Amino acid sequence: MNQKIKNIFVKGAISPAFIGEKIAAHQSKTDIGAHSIFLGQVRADLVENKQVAAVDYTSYEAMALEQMAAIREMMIEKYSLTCMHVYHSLGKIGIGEICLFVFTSARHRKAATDACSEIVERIKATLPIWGQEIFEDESYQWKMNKPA
Amino acid sequence: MAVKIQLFGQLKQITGASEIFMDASDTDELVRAMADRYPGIGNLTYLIAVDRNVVLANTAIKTGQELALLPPYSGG
Repeated sequence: MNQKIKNIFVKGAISPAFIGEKIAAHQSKTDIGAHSIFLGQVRADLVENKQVAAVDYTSYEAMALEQMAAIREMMIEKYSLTCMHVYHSLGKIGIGEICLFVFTSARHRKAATDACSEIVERIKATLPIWGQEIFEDESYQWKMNKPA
Repeated sequence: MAVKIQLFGQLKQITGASEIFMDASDTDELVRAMADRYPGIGNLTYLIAVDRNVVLANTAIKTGQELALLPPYSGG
């Protein structure tokens, strides 16, 4: 396999300004007719009367990047994507902040939206990333991903 | 043979270490050795990655391989 390993990890939250810049950077790619964007946001879950204040993300980065490169190659081919960008936060991300940004671009909308959705599911299922939910009283629990 | 194992998530927390050395010639032996040394792991499930690929069947461990134990993922 001839995969280019791209770093997807961002230290801290993904800022709305960063997302805006990435959208703007595609204006020159005029063969694109549709973008699809997924943004994962840290939710203020209530667990046994304690509110989540932040999620602290860690990863086995070397493996995650290899897995992501394989997903990228597969998705670009399957959906004939023009562009595909993925960013995932590491470190402590506060409630309301963005921790995952998936951005797919294609000639037509169906490919862009279907690819975006499949990529999010694959990220959650196959990338070695762990989130520890930190509560307001500094106690914590390990996050469990739920189906869709 | 002592092999270096990288630990993540809950496993890192239970053992208090991000890297440990274990004596194991295959992955089944590694699972037994982990349970003996760290009873606190209890029923926590985890996957084993050899050279950054998850192995599901028992796999021989060779010198120089990169081993890691991976609790259930919760990215995104």
